[in-house]
Amino acid sequence: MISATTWLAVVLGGAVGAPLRFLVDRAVTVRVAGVEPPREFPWGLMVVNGAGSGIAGVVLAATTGDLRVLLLVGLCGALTTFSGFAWEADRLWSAARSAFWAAVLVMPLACIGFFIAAWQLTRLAVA
Amino acid sequence: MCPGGPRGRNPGGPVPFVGVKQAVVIALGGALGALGRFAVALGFGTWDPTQLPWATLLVNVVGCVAIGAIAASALIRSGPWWLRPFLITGVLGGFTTFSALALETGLLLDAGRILVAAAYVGVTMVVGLLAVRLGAVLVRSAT
Repeated sequence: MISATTWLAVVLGGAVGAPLRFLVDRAVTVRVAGVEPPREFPWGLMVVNGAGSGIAGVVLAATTGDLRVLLLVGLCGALTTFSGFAWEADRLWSAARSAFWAAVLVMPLACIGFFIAAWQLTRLAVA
Repeated sequence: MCPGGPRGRNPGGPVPFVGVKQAVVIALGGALGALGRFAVALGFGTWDPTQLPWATLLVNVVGCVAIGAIAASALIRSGPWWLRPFLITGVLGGFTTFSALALETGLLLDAGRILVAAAYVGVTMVVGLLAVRLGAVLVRSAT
C-alpha cells in the first residue's frame, strides 16, 4: 500500500521539476539560439535531461524511501522529458537532418553516461 | 508572446520570457503528469533490473502519441493561453521522463544485460519518434 506521504512526494517533486525544466530550457535555448530554436541541437533539453539524469544517479545512491520518491520520481522525472525531446527531434527531422541525428544519438548516450558516472561516484562517496 | 507575464515593469528593456502564471500552470500540469507516471509504474509492479522496463516505455510512447496529437489539434491554437503550457510542458513533460530511461539503462548495463539495454534505448527512440507522427496523423485524419 502506498502512503499519502509518498503520493504527496510525487506531486511536490513534479510541481517543482516541470516549471524548473521550463525555466532552464528557455534560458539555455534563448542564449544559444535566440528566441526560437528552429534548426539547432536542442541544448535546452540537453541541459535539463542531462542534469536530471545525473541527479538521478546521486539520488539513487544516496537516498531511500519517500525522499528518493520525491527526488527521483517527482523532481528528476518531471525535470526531464521524453515527449518534448521526441517533439523537437521530429521538427529537426525536416528542418535540419544533421541536428536530428546529433540529438537522437547524443542525448540518450550523454544522459546514460551522466547517470552512470553520478551513480558510481556517489556510491563510492557514501560507501 | 508572454501571456500573464509581467509587463511594463521594464519598459524598453528585455522582455521577461516567463510569467508567474505560466510557471504555476506548468507546475500543476507537472504534478498531474508525475502522478500519472507513478500510477503506471505501480500498475506494472516492481521492475526486475534484468528485464525491459515496460512501464517507462509505455509512459514515454503514450506521451509521444499525445504530444503529436495535441500539437496538431486546432484546439491548442484557438484555445486559452494556458492550454499549451499546461498540457504539453506540464502534463506531458511531467508524465514522460528521460531520467528513468537513463537510470534503467544504467542498471541494465550494470546487470550485464547489454543487449536488453541497447534494445530498450533503441526501441524507445524509434517508437517514440514514430509515435509523435502517429499522434499527428490520427488528429489530422479525424478532423
